[in-house]
Amino acid sequence: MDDKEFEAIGFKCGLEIHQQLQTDRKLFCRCPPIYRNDPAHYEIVRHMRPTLSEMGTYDGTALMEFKTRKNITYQFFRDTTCSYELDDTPPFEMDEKALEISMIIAKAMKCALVDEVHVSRKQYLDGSIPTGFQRTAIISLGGFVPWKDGRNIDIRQISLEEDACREMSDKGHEIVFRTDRLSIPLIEVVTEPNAKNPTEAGELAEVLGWVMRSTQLVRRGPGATRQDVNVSVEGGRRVEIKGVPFIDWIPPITAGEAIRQHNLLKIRSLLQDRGLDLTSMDIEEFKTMKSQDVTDLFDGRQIEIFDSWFEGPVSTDKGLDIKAVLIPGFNELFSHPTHGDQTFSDEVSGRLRVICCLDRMPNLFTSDDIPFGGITEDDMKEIGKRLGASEDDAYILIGGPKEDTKYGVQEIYIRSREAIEGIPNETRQVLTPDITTFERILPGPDRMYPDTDRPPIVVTKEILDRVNKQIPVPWWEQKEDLLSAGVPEPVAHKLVVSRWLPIHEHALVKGAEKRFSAIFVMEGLKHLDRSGLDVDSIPVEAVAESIAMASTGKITIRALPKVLMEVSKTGRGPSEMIEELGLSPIDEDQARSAIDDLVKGHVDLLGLFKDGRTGPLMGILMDSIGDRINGSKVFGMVQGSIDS
Amino acid sequence: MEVLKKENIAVWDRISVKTHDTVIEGILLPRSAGDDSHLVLKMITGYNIGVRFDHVISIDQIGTKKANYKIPEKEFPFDEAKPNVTILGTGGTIASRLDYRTGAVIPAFTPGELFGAVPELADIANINTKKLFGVFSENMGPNQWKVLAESIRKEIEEGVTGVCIGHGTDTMHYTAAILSFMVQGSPVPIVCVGSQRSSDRPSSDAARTLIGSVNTAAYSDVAEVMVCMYGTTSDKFCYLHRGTRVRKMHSSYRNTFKTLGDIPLGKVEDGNFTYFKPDYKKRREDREVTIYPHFEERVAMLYYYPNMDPDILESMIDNGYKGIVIAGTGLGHVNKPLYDPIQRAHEEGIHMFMAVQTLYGYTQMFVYDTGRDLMARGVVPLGNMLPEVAYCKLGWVLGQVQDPEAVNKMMTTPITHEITPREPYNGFVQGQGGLDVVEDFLKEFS
Ligand SMILES: [Zn+2]
Repeated sequence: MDDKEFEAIGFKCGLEIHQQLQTDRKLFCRCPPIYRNDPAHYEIVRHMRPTLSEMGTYDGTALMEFKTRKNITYQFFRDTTCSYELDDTPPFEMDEKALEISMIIAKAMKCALVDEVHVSRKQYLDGSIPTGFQRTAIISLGGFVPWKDGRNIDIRQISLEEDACREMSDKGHEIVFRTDRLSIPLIEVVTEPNAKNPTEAGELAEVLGWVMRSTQLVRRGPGATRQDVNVSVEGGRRVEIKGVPFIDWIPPITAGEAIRQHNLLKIRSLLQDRGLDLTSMDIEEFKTMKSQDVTDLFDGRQIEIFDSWFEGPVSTDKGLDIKAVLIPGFNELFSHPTHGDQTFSDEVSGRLRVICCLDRMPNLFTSDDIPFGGITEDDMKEIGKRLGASEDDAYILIGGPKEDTKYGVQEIYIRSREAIEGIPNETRQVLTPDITTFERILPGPDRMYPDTDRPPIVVTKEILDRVNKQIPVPWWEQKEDLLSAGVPEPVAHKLVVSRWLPIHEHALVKGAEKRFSAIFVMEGLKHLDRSGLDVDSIPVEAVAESIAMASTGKITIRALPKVLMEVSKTGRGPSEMIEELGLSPIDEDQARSAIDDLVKGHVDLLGLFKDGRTGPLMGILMDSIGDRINGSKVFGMVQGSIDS
Repeated sequence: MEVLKKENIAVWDRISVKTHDTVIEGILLPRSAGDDSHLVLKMITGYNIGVRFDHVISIDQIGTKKANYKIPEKEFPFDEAKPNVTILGTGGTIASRLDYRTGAVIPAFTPGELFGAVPELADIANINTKKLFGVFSENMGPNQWKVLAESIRKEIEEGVTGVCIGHGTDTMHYTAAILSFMVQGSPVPIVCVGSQRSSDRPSSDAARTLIGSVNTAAYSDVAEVMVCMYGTTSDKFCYLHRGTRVRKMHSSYRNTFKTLGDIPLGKVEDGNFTYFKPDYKKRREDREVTIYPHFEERVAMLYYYPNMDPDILESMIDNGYKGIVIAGTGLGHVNKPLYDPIQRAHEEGIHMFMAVQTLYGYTQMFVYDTGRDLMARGVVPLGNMLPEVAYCKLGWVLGQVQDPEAVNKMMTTPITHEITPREPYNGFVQGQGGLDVVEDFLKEFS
């Protein structure tokens, strides 16, 4: 499908961009915001328990997740995490710098700041946050960023929140989180669904990324920016895909989701044509559900898809079993394609993996499948018979620990029933650039409540003054300015969001020419950085001063890298280094006499020069005085001296 | 504020607020803190924000919703084969649920509510609940202690298998201590329980401590007053601490309660008990229990610090205190300037006792002159009785006897481990974090 076709099926996409902020500490404790890759010093084990909902009951799925019970291990470091991350100490005051940065970004996106910041708790039962909720606060509402063709990217809201833990592993009932990332400050920028096709969805992320980076106050590097995309098609439902790792992946992943929704809607109408409705499947007490333990049928035989559990012949005494569940009216639907190479059975499979911990793949066998790996035609007939399946029905087989398969058959039933409604309310995770899989049931709006641990923060005039002083010139205006100074488009484009932009800005203040500085910062510095000069270790002022000197002829361009190398090595100022190394430019008379002396000593090379092989002589001349006078001038002078 | 009155807008109304740069829709929330220059809105997304009144151009009422909440009760399933446990409520919330609209925590306390919140309880015992009072932990005092003691007697006489006391954690060790004196010879376990993370959080310890304490009340063989709280910060097991040796030792950790100068009685994990000490009083079938619900309120605790001015003690004397527990430094010391008022207090018949602010270890007032000087002025050392326990015991003793000799005898004769004859080597854990061996242990233990 191309962009036009996506527009035709009513594609809509908005983003939630999560961007870590460049601060000295975490949002609610005084720990440094750094990642650790060495072995953890300390571990604890917790369980998340669903809390009572507004109605005083438990959400069914939440309770099911609880029953299947994950052991959550948290990892700690004695020097960079504290008892706040352990959830054994209440939050400290919110990091002021993070608050300021979030407001600067909000202002850069033309948002209206709130007058008073209230911290709320957003519940997460997946264990990614030891408290079971994320502390988050609205910073601003309704803004926009100019985009293209007179269109804006509309910003719905911006919030400041603490990052969650890093997931280290998730196997069966054991999930491990590292708390180093927990409470690193980040902002969440939520856009309206402005993208009308997958290509535009990618553009949205790119443009907003530029705006945030142009503040120079955000963290960079792997995981510092993460985007969630919300996709829907006409008649579908907003589905959130969490943590798309690269902007390049946004177009294919949103396209994939649109196709998936399109196909789930097709399945829905097929089911409606077959006369199925929600009342035919009870998911409160599963009274209508037909399922059976069929372990005995396979007893003593090795079955490929269950071998990851049984590790040998199937037997009834290992605490494991194989269960079959009937899904009436679903014949040939589990093999219906959804997106990429996925079929409807993968929808069910994802649920079993996440919710029921049946994570040894493949984790199911459907009646649409061709018998393989030890399962025979006769087995299939027998199971159909035991379940009382008719030709219109389908069934699914699963194997694993008895407790897990018990909830497994229920989950299969629940997910199948949801097909009658169409598209379930869930978040999805990225599997490949164009395929997603189930992540979790989308929690309701009920999951937000006020954080009573900290009082609200009044946005005072002092805070506003500090914020207003730091709002960056919008990147699109900066870029226009560079282009009109003759800076090539690719350079201007990269510079406005480069972390070296301050070098450029300082160089201008010190008298550098705009075009020269821009090109040197983006091309020259990058080259030097790659060949071993640690640009970021040199004070911005010193780099800027060196560039300004080269731009204004106080040193030659050829001498500039040398100056920077020496400044970096010695930590001394550029002027001092120029003096010490004798790099200040010489005038033409001084150059001429130096050339004359050198030429006399290399009469043989002069002959070559005259024959057009200018290299050898020029090499010697440039080594000697090239750092102090422009090379083309040297060339002209040699030619002049030959002519005379 | 004016604008709210003018538009006749009340808390819980759905309103639309127009300011000079945006329009915000939400529910008007009550203002909790003193600041009245902002109105607080809960938006559809669930987030709260504050809007300055003087930024408001106009407010429109869109609708209203009454705040009317009740936890739908599920009937607690009664099973004749299961033991009966009574939970006495003092006001601390063990189980609760959130009102997501207001953020208020609504306590769940009736058996039905508890069953709704912690359904696992029904697998353990039949539960009956009695709400005795609704006070915060810090407001518990002699009147509540006496009522608790009487209620425990009643429950025992009516035949319960065990009693749990839902209690705020701040002063739980005071209550555990005083009940150890007021309720003597109980045939059943009496278990104080609370939570360090309220049950509106998915990470709450409440359900697990509640399950642990109900298990203990129902099945434990220990017929003593105990505190049942987390043993580590992991969701693993609860320790059973003796009422006279337990103390809250951290303002916020889950495993804040520790047994001091000894090891805990035991632990309970998923209904399984491990007893560390064999010297506990065993559960009995009879229904005999003695209650001593007495407390003299003019009792104080004086936490000594260097350079303490004698006028503090003077004012205690002038204000008619009848008994004072001094938490002294080291082995049980205070400075010389206090000698005179101590002498005066002694002459005026005030009962003075010495406990150690080191919390661990015994008073030893024969070693230095200071100690001897204090004893000469009537201060009686209490060995390794914890200062808070000494306060409770002194109030309780003076509620019954006044004769100095009788008071001293009662105070220094242990009733239930408030003074122990010996301190085992593991009663004071030596290690501190930092040493490799301790760090390795911590990794294992948590
Ligand atoms: Zn910390």
